[in-house]
Amino acid sequence: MTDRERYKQAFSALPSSRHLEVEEMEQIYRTHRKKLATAAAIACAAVIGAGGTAYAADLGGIQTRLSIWLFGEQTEITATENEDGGYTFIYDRGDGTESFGFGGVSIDEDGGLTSLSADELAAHINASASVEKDENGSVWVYYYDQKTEITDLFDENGVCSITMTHEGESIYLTITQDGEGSYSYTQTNDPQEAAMTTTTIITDDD
Amino acid sequence: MRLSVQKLAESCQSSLFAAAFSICQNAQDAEDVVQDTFVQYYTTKKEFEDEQHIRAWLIRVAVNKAKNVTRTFWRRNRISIEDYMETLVFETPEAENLFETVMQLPEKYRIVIHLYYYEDYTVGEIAGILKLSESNVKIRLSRGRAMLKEVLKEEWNND
Repeated sequence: MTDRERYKQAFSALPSSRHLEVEEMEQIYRTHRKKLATAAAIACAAVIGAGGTAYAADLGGIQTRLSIWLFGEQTEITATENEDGGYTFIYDRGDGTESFGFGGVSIDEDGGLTSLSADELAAHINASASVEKDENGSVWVYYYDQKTEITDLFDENGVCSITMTHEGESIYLTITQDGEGSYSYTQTNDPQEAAMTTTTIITDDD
Repeated sequence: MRLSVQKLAESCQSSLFAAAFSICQNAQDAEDVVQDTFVQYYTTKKEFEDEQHIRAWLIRVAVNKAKNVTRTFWRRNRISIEDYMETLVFETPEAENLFETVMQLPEKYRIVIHLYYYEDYTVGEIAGILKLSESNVKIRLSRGRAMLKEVLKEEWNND
């Protein structure tokens, strides 16, 4: 018996994986896309705001100047590559320099992972809404150039649902009060998913 | 050229599972890899030259996905390869011994050995699938074989 025959005999002990039907594949595809979108959103939310004040001169990586939407305003920002394959974004918020760390990966056709570029991350930041509480206690949602106050729109469970539209594309946000001054939110482009929520207000950029 | 997922599943599913398993060493992870690989084929707009091209692409995707699984921090709670092997039925004690020895090889040698001996790919084809140089594949193949020979002795010819 040759080594090849031996090898094939040994690995023939492995069971075949379960049979996949095309209909099932379509269902998996839909779920898969949703999971990818959710995973990207979670990755962004987890790192935004994690940084403190930093200065561009302290950072050694390659710098890129970008313009992104932050707090409803077009903001000039410096992106500096960090050791983790992500970027440190630094911007001037009027009363001093602020920074945050941000990174992400894309999955290519061969299943390989590639770190997102500063431009790709900026596009992701632009397409993601943000929720902030100001010094007066008012809660605001920002999306591109839009700014909407939602302080009084939370239901008895501390949940607010809102639809925002930019250049014909709608996003559906569900914002939840987690505690004193803390909010979490989910963002989706799927109206069916958004239909599960209760109070809805609609804003757009027209 | 495109083939239906159904047809590919019939001809390639076992191969993809074996390739993924040789990297993940976990049946559930390998199942997920196979499923994700077919989803990727189902969704890609890539055009293929022939069935061999599709097969090589599927193997490459499965290998990459399986590597990603092994690097994932939050891997599922998994049963050990030893426990899983107790559920497998081998034709001979030598076959079991060979399987176990291959599973103990470092990953980079294991996948090259698997593609060469199970999938019958040439060194050049393996280099293409794994995006390695041919000389690198030859070195890994040679070292993997030497490790198998050292453990298996006369049960492995090094042919």
